[in-house]
Amino acid sequence: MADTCPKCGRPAVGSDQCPGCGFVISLYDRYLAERGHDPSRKSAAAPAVPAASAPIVWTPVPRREAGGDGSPSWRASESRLLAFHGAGRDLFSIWIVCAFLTLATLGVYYFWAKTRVRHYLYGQTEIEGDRFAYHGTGEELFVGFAKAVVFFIIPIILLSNAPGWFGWGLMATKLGKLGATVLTGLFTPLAIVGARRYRLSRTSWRGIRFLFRGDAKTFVARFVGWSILIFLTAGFYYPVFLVRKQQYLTDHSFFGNARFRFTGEASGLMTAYLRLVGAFAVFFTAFMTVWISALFFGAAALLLPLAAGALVIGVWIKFAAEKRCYFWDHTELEGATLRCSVTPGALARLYLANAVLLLMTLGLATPWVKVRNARFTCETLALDGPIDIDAIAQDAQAAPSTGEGLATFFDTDVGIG
Amino acid sequence: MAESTRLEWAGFYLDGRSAARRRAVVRLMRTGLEASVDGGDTVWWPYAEIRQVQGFHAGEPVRLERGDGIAAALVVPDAAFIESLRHVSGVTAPRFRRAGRRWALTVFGAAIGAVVLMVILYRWGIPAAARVVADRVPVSWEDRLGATIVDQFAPANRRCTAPEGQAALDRLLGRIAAAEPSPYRFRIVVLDDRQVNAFAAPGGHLVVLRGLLQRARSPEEVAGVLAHEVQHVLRRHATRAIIQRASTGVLVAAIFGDVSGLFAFAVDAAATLAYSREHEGEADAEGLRLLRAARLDPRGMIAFFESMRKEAERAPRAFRYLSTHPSTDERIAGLRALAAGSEGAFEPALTGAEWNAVRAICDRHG
Repeated sequence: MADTCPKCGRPAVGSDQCPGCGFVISLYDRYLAERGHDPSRKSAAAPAVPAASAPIVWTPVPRREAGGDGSPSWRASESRLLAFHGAGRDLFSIWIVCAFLTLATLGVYYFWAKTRVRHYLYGQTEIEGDRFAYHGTGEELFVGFAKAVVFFIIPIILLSNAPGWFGWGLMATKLGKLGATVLTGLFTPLAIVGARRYRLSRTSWRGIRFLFRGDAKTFVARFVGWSILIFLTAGFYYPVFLVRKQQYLTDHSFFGNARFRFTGEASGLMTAYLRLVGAFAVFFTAFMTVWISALFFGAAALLLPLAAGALVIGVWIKFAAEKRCYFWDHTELEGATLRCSVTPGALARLYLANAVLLLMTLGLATPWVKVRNARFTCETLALDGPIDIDAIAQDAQAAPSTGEGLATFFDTDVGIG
Repeated sequence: MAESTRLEWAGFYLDGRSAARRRAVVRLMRTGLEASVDGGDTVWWPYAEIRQVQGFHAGEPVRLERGDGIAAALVVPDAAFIESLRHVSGVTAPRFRRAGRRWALTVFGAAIGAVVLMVILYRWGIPAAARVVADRVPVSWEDRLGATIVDQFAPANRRCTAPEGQAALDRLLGRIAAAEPSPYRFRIVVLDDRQVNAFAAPGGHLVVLRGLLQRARSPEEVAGVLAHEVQHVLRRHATRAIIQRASTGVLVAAIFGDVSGLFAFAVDAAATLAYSREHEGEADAEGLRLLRAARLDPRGMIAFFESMRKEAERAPRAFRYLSTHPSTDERIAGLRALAAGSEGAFEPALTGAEWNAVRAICDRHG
């Protein structure tokens, strides 16, 4: 039994239970074996896995005092990998039933369908041996959608059309159009904040809820400011906007009482973005050139815009990969950092295979595509660095945010997308 | 049965207050389960207050929760636990469910049902609903919508506006429209485009392309096309098609979610062709009736469609018109049957001078 404790790394553990942290090795090994892992990787001389019917007995040990014996809770080099266990077949069985019910209810079931799919996807996502859990309900999504319809969609339609329908004159038409534009402008940031607040508050891991504490008014005001800057700079503020938006959303997100931090720079995506813009410039130059050269060289000139088109798609996927990694690599939680291993090539292969799958099956492969996407995300994401997970506690505000009056009035997911 | 009655299980307890995961031995009792949690606590959960939230799929650990809001949870990795729980507690589905299996028949039934429903909705349900809704849309809304569509499709700088030609077309259109009382005010715009085509936007806005006026051999042929398009307006075909496409798009989006863009497009393209054939038949028959009521020779309409069909046999140049106005043998035969026995008191559609003005409507635009 001279072994290393798989949890705290204490060498030469003489018994089944680690004297350092109280960890029971045989139980851990059995758990690994049940999940299809090879326990011998972690402990060379693992005790035989107890027969399934054997009684489980251990003597309760006092809870570990934090740092009481001077040993660190986790090794500094700790890297936690995400794993996705879902299968397209399982999701298909959910999805097809949902498709039937959605059709039978003329679309109303959509919100319940979305909730069922989320339940499945969250429940199949695992880190540190524990699955995530989704706590949302279809009713909540439906109410969120109804609110969006009543307070945004119907007013926007009325404001932009009613003056014309009823012949209220030019002034009313202009005011209506202005009002519709303002409402449309407010809807996007409100929907971003509301969906994030809802989604995080309905997500848990190890029984601890995620939480978004951003202020809707602040975010909307900043969002409007960023939009104006994008307009004034002819789009060149866009990469800064992406980072600033991510910063606000990340910095106000919590896991229990542990706060996420965004450590990126405002100009972090500028180079990647300029490369994207450059590729578009090449594309349009090539396209214009071909109009002229086609007159002289005929069909051969068509190769030029084709090559330029491939270049744009390639650079766009590269930008998508770089953006994803920039955001993840600059997200911290209590001293640990997310680590991203998405490569443009892998992302391009994922997109291409998904598109082929969907087209060949007329959309029936939708569940497999969702599973592929989730698996790709999990396989390319890890949490690196020392973090004392056990010290994270539930936040007092983590209670479900339904029925809290006007303050959280729009903090619902409209369920679109 | 030994397996299903095992009473002690290894699991983990999540208290809902800290992210620490504590090992627990779960013991199944007669009216509830008892969990001895690492650290000395023992919790008692009556079966009536427990809900299963995970463990419905192969490989997914069984997760039980108890409490409102932030619940405490017990996670048992061994899927066989749910068998014992069902057996001891006497509580079965839907509250405590085994993973997998039960789906096979449901999934098959749902797949068949989904396909059947899709066909029914697409073929009958949505068209019928669109008809009901379209019939209740106020004419003034249709008028606004149509004006917007025409402004986009035929911007002012691409219109042919020679006053004599316009006046002749207005008079011809007025005569056709007057044959059936309606709340619509019909207007016609000629677009400077060499394609042979015409279309009707909601609310009485007709657009005729220059190519069609040049291809027609008599004013009666133009009158035939106009009567056909007037019927599209009176039967609210365009309004119906817009509602139909929008609702199909919403349903497709609801089923396919994020990947809907692609399919909405495909379904949209299919819907445009499939539905328009029915509408075309109706517009033909009713248009022909309208021509006779306006004392216009319906043979012009038939002659035009026939020349379009011959054109299609010779060259693919007219395929734009044919794709939306299928000029099949059956269609022409049907029209001939309807037109039979209607020889007699027709009045010319336009005078010679008017017809010349119509054909020259694009000659001095701008």
